[in-house]
Amino acid sequence: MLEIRDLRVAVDGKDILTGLDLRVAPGEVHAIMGPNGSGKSTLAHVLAGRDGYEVTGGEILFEGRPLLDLAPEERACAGLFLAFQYPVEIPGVNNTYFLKAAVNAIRKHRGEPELDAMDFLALVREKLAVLHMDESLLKRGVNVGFSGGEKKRNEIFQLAIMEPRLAILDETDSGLDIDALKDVAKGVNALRSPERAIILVTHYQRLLDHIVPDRVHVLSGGRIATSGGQDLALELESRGYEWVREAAAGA
Amino acid sequence: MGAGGGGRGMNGAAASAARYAEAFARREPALPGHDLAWLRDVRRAAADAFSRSGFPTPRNEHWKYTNVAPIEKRAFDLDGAGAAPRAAPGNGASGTLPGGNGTSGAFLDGGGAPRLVIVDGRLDPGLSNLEALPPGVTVEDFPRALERDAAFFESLLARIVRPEKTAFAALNTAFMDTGAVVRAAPGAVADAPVHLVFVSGAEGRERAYSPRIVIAAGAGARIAVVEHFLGLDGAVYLDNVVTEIDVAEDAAVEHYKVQQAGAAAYHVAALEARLARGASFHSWAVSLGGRLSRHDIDVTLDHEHARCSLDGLYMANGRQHTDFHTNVEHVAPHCASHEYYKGIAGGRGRGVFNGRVHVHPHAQKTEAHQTNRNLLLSRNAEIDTKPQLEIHADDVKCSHGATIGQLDEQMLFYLRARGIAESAARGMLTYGFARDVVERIARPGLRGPIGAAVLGHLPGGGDLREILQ
Repeated sequence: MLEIRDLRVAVDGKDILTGLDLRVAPGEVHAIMGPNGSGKSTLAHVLAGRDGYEVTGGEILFEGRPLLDLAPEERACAGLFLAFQYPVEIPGVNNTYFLKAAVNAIRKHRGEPELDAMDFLALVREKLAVLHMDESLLKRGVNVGFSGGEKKRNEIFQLAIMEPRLAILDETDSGLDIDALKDVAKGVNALRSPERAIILVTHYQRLLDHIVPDRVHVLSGGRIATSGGQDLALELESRGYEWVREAAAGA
Repeated sequence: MGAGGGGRGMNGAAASAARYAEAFARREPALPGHDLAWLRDVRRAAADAFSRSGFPTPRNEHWKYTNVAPIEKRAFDLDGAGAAPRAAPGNGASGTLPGGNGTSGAFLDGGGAPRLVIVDGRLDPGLSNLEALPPGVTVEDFPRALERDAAFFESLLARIVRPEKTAFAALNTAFMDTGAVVRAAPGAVADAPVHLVFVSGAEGRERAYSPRIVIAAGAGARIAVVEHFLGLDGAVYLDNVVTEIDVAEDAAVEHYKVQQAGAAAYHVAALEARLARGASFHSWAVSLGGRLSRHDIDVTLDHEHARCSLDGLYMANGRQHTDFHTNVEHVAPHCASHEYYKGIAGGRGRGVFNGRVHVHPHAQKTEAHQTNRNLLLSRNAEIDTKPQLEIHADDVKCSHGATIGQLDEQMLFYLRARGIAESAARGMLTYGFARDVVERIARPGLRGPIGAAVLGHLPGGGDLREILQ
């Protein structure tokens, strides 16, 4: 589904990713962990197509097609979804209108008929219940006046509505209390399927108690220093990131 | 700038003034109310004031950013409506009206509200509908009202908007020959807004129109009036509008202005409201059309407990130029004014906002707040904003804020990352910026059609209809 080969990315002339390789197959859940500044969020943003990142080498294939040539909206239509670490507030654009426009843009791209108001509302209500979100949030501007937890729930709510092929969750667990974390995990676990892949970008292990990954990778110095199963995450939790850095430096 | 006065040759200015003077001399004997001595004096004084001043140049501080030389250079036809009714647009006239299938499709009232329609300076009884007026409210076209009750105008006409105030007000006062008069008796309450619709440019002539609008609300009356200016896109013409509003004690007037002049047209409008004790005035204005447009909105609060709110939205695309000048005079204590204006400029469009608030020495306990936010959509667009607060009393609450920005890149990326094409995302964010101004329209029935008109002027706005819901 996703194949990243020797990816090198610089921001303002500074190398952030220095030769990253990653393969994610359909049905898999991968966790990308690492200390602050290791390039986790850079990877998430480059995958989604954000400006300001200079790809200096390597390539990314998404379902066999070169991803880097696509505009952000084309990536979304192709089935890639980024749950933002810091979802932006958009005053004046109603949440319901935005969601419907997004869902229908993607459906149109896939050659599916657009959802009418009734079908859309039914879909929305079902997903709201899973995430314990109040319907009144839909009437507000996108993320406007949402608490930190509500913003994160809203990201997973959008993920549930859009049903992408590949979901990338950028630090979705940061700033969440335990109830919100459980709701978010429930929303994500409900989406696990043999056709869909999920990448969890996270600093902490605790999210992985609730969304159990198939593979865990540790980023250090702009590349993947080590990979393993869930045990690796537990080891990081008890030993910290320093030993990975040392191990990588010694390798 | 050349030495000849804001880049214009003095000969050109003199020739232009002479042409207006000749036209006035020729038309004066037949202008509405020509048999009234007081009105003759008013018109002559106004014509003289214009002859002395000529059109303003950018050296005049009030016109620094808006050069009206293109208006001065045009030899507009000043002869007024001809003897016979002209064909209404959609009845054989070339060109199209914004937002409409023919004339009635362009109206904002959906067909049911009371409306007075003036096509090319002449009342169109067929398109007008004044049957649904509530008791105590009268709506007439200006010449007819003057004929029927001249005494009403003597203490009012040209007393609120003084002709010497601007050259355009003087010109309008000299030539005023069309327009509308809305009067509400004391205590009268109108639930539905009265629509005054002006359609310009349907004739082939390059005309200058001088409509005069008078709105008078008696004590305790509550009315809403919509001024809607439409024009044919191919037509070159000048709307030179003056609106005088008299709000008696404890009365409330809501005034909506929708400027959808034709793309090649010039639109200049001066509005002033006079408020008695406890009166309230709400102005909501949107400037969408026209090659060059200018709105002057003035409110004098010289009786206690009067309050006004002034809201507006101006949009300039292509090579459009639009200018809003507001002026609130806080003369009496215990009055409040709130201003909320937003501007959007794209292409090589140019917007100007100048908001003056003058708190006089005795106007203690004044509350005056002004906000002006602007959005630039392109590198070549320009907006000049100037909040101007002059506060001479010490026990007041005043604030102002002016900003100019661009579309937020993070918001744009967020929308695109959800599959929304860049052009649609820009349209959504642009309407999102304007939306809170539209939501300040107090009448839900007007919000929809005016929102649609605003959306219709956004690049790609036609694809975003559902955003209005």
